Amino acid sequence: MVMAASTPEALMYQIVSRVEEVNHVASRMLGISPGVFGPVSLGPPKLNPAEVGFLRSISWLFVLYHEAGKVGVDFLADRLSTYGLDPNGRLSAHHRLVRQLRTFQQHNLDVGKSCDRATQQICEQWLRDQCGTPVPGTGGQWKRCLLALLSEALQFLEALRQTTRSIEQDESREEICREWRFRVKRYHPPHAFDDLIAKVATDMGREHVDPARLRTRFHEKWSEELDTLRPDYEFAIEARKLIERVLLTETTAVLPITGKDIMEEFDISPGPLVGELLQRARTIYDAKPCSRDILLGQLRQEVFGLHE
Amino acid sequence: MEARLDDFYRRLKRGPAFLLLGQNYLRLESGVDSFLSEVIRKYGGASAEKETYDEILDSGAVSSPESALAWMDDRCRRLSVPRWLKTAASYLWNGVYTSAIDSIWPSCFRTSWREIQPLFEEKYRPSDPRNRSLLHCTFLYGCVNRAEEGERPPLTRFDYRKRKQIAISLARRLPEAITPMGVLAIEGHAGDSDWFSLDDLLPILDELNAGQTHIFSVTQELLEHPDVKELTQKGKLLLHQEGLAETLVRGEGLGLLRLGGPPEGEESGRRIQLDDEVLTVPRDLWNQVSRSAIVLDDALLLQPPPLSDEARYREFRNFLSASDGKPQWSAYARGFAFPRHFEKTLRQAVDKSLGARTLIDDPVILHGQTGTGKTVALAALAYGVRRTGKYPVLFIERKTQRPVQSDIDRFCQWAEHCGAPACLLVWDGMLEPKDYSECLKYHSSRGRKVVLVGSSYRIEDKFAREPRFVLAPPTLNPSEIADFAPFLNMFHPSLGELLRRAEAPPDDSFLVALYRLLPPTRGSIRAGVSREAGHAEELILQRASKIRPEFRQVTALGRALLQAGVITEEQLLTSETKDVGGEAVSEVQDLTGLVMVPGRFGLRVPLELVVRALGKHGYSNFMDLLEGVDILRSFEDSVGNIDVGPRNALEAKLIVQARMGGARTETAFAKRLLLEVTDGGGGFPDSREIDFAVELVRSMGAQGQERAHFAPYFKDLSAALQQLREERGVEHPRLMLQEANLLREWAVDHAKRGEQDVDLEGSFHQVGSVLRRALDLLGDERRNRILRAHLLIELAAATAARARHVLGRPDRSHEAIPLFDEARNAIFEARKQDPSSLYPIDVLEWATEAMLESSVLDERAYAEAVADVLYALQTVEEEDLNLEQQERLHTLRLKFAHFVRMEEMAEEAFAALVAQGSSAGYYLRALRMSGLPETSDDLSDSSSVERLRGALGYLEEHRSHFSRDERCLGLLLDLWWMVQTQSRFFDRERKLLPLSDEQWQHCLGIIHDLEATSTSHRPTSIAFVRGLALFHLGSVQEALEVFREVERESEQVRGRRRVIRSYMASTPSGQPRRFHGDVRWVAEEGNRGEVWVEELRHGIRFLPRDFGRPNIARGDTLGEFHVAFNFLGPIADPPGHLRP
Repeated sequence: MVMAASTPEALMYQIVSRVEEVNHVASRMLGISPGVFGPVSLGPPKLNPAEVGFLRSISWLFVLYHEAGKVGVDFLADRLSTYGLDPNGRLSAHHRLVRQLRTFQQHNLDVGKSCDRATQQICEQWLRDQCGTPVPGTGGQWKRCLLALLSEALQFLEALRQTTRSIEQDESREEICREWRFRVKRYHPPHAFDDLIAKVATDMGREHVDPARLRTRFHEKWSEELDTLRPDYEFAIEARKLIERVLLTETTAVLPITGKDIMEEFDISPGPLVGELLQRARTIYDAKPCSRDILLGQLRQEVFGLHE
Repeated sequence: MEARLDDFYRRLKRGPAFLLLGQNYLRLESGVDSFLSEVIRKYGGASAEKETYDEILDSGAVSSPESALAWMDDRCRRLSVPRWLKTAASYLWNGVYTSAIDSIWPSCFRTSWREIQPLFEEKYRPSDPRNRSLLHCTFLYGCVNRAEEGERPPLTRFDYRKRKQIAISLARRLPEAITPMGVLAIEGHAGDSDWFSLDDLLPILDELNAGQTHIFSVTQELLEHPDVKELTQKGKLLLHQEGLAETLVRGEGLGLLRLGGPPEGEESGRRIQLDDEVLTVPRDLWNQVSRSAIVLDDALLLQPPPLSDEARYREFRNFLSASDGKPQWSAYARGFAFPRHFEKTLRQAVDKSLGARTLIDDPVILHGQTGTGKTVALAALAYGVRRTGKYPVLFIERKTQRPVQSDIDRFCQWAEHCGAPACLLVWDGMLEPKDYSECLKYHSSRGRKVVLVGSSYRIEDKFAREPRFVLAPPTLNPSEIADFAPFLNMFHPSLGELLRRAEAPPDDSFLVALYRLLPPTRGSIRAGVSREAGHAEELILQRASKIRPEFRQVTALGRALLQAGVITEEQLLTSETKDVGGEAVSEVQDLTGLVMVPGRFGLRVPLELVVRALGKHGYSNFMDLLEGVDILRSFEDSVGNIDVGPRNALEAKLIVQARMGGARTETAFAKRLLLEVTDGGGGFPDSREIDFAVELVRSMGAQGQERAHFAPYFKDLSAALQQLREERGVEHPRLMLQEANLLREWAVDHAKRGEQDVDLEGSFHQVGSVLRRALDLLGDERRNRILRAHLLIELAAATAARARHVLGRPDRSHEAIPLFDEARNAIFEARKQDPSSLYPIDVLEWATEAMLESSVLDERAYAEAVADVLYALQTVEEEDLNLEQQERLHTLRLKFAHFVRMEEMAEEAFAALVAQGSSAGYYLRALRMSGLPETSDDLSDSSSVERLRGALGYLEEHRSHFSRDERCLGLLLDLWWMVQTQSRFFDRERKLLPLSDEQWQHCLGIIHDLEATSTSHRPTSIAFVRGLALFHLGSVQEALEVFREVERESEQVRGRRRVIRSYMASTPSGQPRRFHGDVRWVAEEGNRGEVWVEELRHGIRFLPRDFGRPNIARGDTLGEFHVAFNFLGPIADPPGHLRP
């Protein structure tokens, strides 16, 4: 049950206690530790003044939901409506909002882009709903926003707690927990890739590749691709394939010709054929690097030869 | 990349794309089917080495099926959707079929941009089976979340065997849904342990073409199956070890496809910014309105991604090539549309209407011949207005299926409630202006402020001179020509020069021809300019120079088609015909004919229909045929329906003229299409094919632009529809109306020529039979009123034409009288069905004239016939007519008055009629005394009022003699109202009525008598006046009941009269009555409410915005107000709204 709390500090206290309870119950149920939330390296947010408290709370909640608790929070949040805990979708919206507020507060948005524009609109609307303006300015306005954010977070975590307890009592608990454990097993946190990147890079003679930098760029994409594989895949092998592909495509030499050269040379319109010819040019060039004109000549020869 | 994957991505992108999920799909992620495990745990089942769905059959679940299914459904909510399926579901599929029975998977197909439509039984045939935003999900074996027998999964082996038949029947829809263009992806199929086994599945897959079916995550068992091997060898099955999601993700990574929904499904999708407010269109509303129109949301306004010069040129050519059909909004953002000068005039007319403060009944019409840039201008207008951020905009592309007006209305209502001052509806329908007027009246009658802009063929009559008619001239004017070269140079600095050298004079096909005149690549422009005889110039200049002198007469498009090799000079210059029936034509010619004949009228053929008309061989070769011909295109609408059509109607017309040369061949192609039409199952559901057939026949028929060309073949076309009805069982009233109309027109043409050797009598008789059968089929449902009226009018016209025909034969002229009576009955019935239509009166007028001229009627029958026509002309509710119809009404009145010369009728004639007991005598005499309709034009003129008063006195004096005659009573009511109120019915807003109780009582008496005749042609208006009278007489409860009845019936009142506050509650001295009250109820949206009126002791409607109090709440007082009346009933009206 959510206790009425009137100060940010009191709310934060309740939030932390919910996190601990969820972790404790889940850990016993799943037989793994930690249950839902891993350690959060960020210290608890300083809540005063309210503007700082708001910004730091967003960062802290983002790490809590989307990094430290990535698998478990998603798994439990998917089941809120199953147990009748989020009838109007407000709690799920909070889960998304934390990510959006973080983007809104910490990135330079391009309103010409569809997703950035939407993020801006959603966040400004939320701020307006809380304090009457999309651009809080006074301490009072920031405090209202901070209280609203922490209240929502507390309700969300309380709902996660109730969901965990409901699973504990569910007739299908074993099957649900099996799925949950499977998700945990399939999740490969960013750092899991770092060692592998270092090994692959060394094997390919590219010791100077910065694993963390490469992983930051590709982690989401790699995770998505691994999710589509069969259950028995070996992480070390499949992830290695993905890393090697990136290293091969990202670090190859720049071709002396462009697609524009190909369109002009062969008098063709933009389309898949341009990509195919560039691919062929890449093969020719990788075999023996050469100048622009020679490459175009060889490509022409290959294309016409094929046509003959 | 592998060629087969490349082909998969290509087909997926082109669509239609269907997904078949097998019963193994839940096992793919973790190797365990959690759902099946749980069911077996709960209900047990025969132990087997591997868990299969067979174990559910005859298990413990049978003992209590309903609770077992409920339990299973409950489990589904607890179990996870596989991650790979979320990825796979994020693709924009056109449809999903599944043998799975759980309710886990549908949730991941239901997104913010997509709703799902479950489909369980054969009897349901959706009209949009490929709708991407309303995804049809076919549950071959039912679903655990259903309890009905036909929808739930089988739990016994016998039920399973029964359901199998249905599953096969449902799956057999796949080939037609996928079409020869599409692709089927199968994932998670459990082979022979799947309920939809390979024995069931493979024969269906065999009906698809090579390369269309891809099976993913294939197992060893599948690879070794002999039939799978055979189909794989034939190229019909493509097997992949990889999973579908993996393949999709790879395709996305390569940039070959897009996952994650349509642009409107993105986060900025479905949003409409109006000034500073951002509105989000609710998903269900979005999906509903998208069936009928394109909503221009903010996603369309975003700047499209930048393009290289080459890609920009290609996109420009693509834009020119595909300027008909669904607009490419990004092309407008990129400035690809050459702005013609008439567009400024159009924009001014639209801005003026949008800024007007009143409801609008008259559409803005952009008219002009084909190929003048109307479609582009309309899309540019829609885009331009939306960009201002002031108004919501809907765009309706040209298609055979008409938009559902209630869809549009719901959107406009929502927009208004959100604060939009008006909505712009741009409809590129190429319809007659009256069709747009009807549409607009529908919206204005509901109080919607909609500005409608429509396209039309060139209109020559005098109405086209009104400012709201904007002409798109066929040729570029000198100033436009001067602007054109700089415009082209935006795409390549030499393009304007190259085109100038091509000596293509900017004639009336120039804009259509432009696509074919431009070199295919940007590179060839440079080559063409730098080398005098370069590749591009050879194409354009050399061929142009070979054109013989007489060929100069041919249009720029003709030359362009020639240069492209689409037609030869001989084809273009001669009129050689091909006999489709007897002589073999090539497949390409066949396909071209089937598409180009409708295409010349701007119609596109539903893909399923053209494929059926081509036959089985045509199905298997369809893609080769389509891709081999540059002049055909496929079009997909917003709900996934696919049509095939020409690039442009003008191009189609030229090709038809060149390749076919005559109406006979064109008719033969049309007949082939008509004979393949299906109606989509029982009843009269909306069907694209029926719509298409109706539009095709109308275009080729008497209402079409080329009546004379096709007139000799009307009977052939009618016979095709008859054959469709009698032999193929497609009995649809709309088609039957066309069948009858064609045959009648054919018979009338022959009758006019006095031909004796054709069976005209038989034809007229057949027309009557078809129409009566259609009326029987239609029943008396309220929603079919308009169609019933059309059928009745056609029946009346056919019967009257038959009467006129026999009148020409002296020995049989007496037979005309019963036919005339029959025709009149049909006309009167038609007027009841649709009182606002002028057509019945038109038919009545000419039919009566023919009878009067023949002298077969006796004196009394003559007078009755005359009185009927005059009364019909008198009671037309002019307020509901557009200007053109008003003009037509005026012409009819003059014509008939001239014909009967009533002013010259002697008093003795009236006296004789009266003596015979003919109430027509009273009517005709009173009408002549009144001087109507001219005297009603100015009721402030005392001499006019005196004439009306005299006629009123005459009728009052003789009222007992015509107590059951609607004409006399109707005239009496009109005269009384005009004399007492100095106004005609509904002629202004907020009219005060200075009537005493006695006067209201008298009025009520006339209305009671009139309604007792049960033949009134304007029952809704009369009931409205009855409500007014009762209200003023203090019978408020009774009055409110009458107004409720009026509101229900007023659905058929088209035009703003329905919502205009015509009258005010008044004192006998003609002052507004004052009322007081407080709010009893306010809608959640704050847009409407009810106020308790102390003086009436009843609640009535009020609109918070009228009182400038959007936040008004229950219990708040409304202060002092007036009460006004419209067809929706009494409504509180702020005192300030009444102007002196």
